[in-house]
Amino acid sequence: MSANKLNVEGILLLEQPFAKVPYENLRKIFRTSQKHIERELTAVQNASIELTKIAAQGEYDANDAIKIIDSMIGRVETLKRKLSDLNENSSVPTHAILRKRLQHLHSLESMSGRDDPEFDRWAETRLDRWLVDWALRTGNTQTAKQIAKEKKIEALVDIELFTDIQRIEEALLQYRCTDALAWCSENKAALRKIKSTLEFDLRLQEYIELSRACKKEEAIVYSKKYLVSWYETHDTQIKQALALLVFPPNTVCPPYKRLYDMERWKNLSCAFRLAAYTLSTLPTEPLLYLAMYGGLAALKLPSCYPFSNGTPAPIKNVDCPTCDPECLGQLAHEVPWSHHVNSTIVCRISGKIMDADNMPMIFPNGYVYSREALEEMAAKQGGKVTCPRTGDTCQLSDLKKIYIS
Amino acid sequence: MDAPLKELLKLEKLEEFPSSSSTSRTAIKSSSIPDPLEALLQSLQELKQQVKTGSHPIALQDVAKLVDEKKKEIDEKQREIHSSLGKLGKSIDKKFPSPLPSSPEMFTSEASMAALERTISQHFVRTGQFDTSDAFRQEAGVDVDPHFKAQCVEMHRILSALENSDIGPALEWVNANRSFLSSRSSPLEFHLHRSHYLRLLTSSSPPYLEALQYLRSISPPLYDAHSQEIHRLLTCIIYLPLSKLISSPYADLANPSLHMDLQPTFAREYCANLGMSKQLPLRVVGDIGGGGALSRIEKGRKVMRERKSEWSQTNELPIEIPLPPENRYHSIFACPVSKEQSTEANPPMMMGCGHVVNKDSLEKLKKAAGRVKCPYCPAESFTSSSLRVHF
Repeated sequence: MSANKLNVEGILLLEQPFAKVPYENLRKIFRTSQKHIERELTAVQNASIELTKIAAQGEYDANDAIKIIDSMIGRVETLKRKLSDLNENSSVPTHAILRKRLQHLHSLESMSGRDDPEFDRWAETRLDRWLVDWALRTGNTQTAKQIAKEKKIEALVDIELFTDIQRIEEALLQYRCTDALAWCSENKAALRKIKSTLEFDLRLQEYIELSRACKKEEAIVYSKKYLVSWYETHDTQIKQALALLVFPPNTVCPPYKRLYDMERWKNLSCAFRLAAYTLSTLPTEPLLYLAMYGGLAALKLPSCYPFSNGTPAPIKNVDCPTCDPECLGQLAHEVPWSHHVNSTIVCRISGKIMDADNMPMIFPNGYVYSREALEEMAAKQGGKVTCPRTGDTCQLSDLKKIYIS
Repeated sequence: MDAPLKELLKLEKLEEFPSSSSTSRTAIKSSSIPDPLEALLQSLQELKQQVKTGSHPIALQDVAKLVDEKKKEIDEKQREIHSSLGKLGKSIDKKFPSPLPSSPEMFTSEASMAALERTISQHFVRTGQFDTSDAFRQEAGVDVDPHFKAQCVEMHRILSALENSDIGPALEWVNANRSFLSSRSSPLEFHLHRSHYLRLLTSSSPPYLEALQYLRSISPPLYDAHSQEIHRLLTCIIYLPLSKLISSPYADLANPSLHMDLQPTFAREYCANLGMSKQLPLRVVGDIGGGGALSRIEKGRKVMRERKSEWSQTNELPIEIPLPPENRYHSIFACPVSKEQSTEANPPMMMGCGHVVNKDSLEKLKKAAGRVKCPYCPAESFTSSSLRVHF
């Protein structure tokens, strides 16, 4: 990374969900419109066949015909209205969002490099986006909305998607499956593609609740309606479920005790959240964590941490993010150490890197500083130099050059 | 991103739905879905009229054909839209050749979550997002150190004054912290005055009395350190107004960044005075991670998987991530012989010739009679005369 050039490929690695979420939304809208068209027009077709039958009779009641025609008109008007609504309230806004996001990514290509103030603003927006994503995932919805409003990035974040997920999750944690089941039926095809068993698990849980309340007849009816269709893949589970009716809720028999365990609801809510993320091509961990992993691992050095015998690190640098033990230093414990095969020596006086233009000089006691900083110090102190760390003094001419590579 | 944007445009045209309220669109003959529906509606209305007035029943049989025809039209349109959607999806996928790296659960322990919340709330306060920080405190229950918050509020008060070209609060702070600034040889005070003077100059007309009086009043203490620059500030007057100044040898004085740079310069000095880091920690970490570090780590991981080799025992990253100079906070010494980083247990040692290797490597280079030969220059020296180096 010697040049200032932007690593666009590296940056885009984390941006796939950014573009895909509105795109997946467009697909969902298309599927809904298709459903509407099929439902209304098939009914109209059937009605038209009836009309043909009536007409073939020769003698017919005009009122009957008019009734059927009216129903057809009604259907077509409903379809027109539904499609228009869908277009205005869903398609057009989603197009706008997708366009905004694609243009946001496009702007990277016209930036001159990391020094470009445009890029600084882009990076600031990116961090804001990640913070909104993190806040939404951890349930801090108000904070997320506040950031989005203040920084005007509502189109660049997925607040609605996450609030929806949260709503269904909360319902599950209050032991209600209805919202989750509605979501499953909306996303039937996509769930089938990823071979998700979420719908079955939800139906099974409702059945278990019926069994827990000893509503045995209702349970059997329920199982016939909703569980049997899954028999091919879940026969053992269904058999076990049917046997559950025999055991009371406080049974100690292990497999049936597990089925009655209320912990299942928590697992259901986690499974739902994962399925929702997968369907929307969202990652399972907040993007902020992914970026922090990379950043912290690149910075983590033994110099940032206390020695193993407990004495504090003498080389703590207030500017280094990983040196801060209360904040990022604590988080850096979970990432690997950085790997370096090349040396980079930083002067403790000026903070500048010591290289061929600014050679390192060594005191007789072994402490090293940059030539520029030492020459500046000597000019102010009449040829004398003092080591800031030990207090030893000597003449500038006593210092020797040191070679590190 | 040109290709996806083009596909999106095509899709939008196909899905256009002329709404009843838009008058401009009715003039354009767009062949979208409402048209066959409209036609169908019209025919049905006509049919109804015909039946009411008792006309030929054959018309009823035609209805079935008509409905089928219109449905086919609509299905055809839907197919076009579907294919356009597919093309859009493909063009987007092309822009992201590698999938998002999978990651295990991170930062789940209580200590980590607390540290993360603390980091984020400090970030909000430090960047002046006080409303957001309040919302966060209410939702997550994370408290901010009131002292820290007060310092950030103060900093933002001065920064917003600077935004409005008011250098007053900044000068107050400079006066209060003069010794700190002079120990760092900071040009902040001079920059502040220079900006104000230039604003006075470019917004007034000859003989620029106000500006000159201002310069006279502030010059004496600043003259020693900035005499040449003060001279330039005076002589640039011959090239006013601003339009001429831009193409003169004093063009740098017309650069708006002179005024815009005041805020970051001030923020740097303010934060250094309080022992805060000069950059926002979250931005630093985020920019490194999001700027290519992850893709390198992923590539490294892929290569190791292909070679079926294990990660090193020391839980280090498999590859080096190059850092720009502004992110070098510590000295890193990698022994040129062993390529290992120096540690407390294995410190860097300088031999008599001036070359440095790690202690372990020094041991390995030992020859008879306590002498050691440097691998880089032909000089030999005594092991006992090697000096422990502190970078």
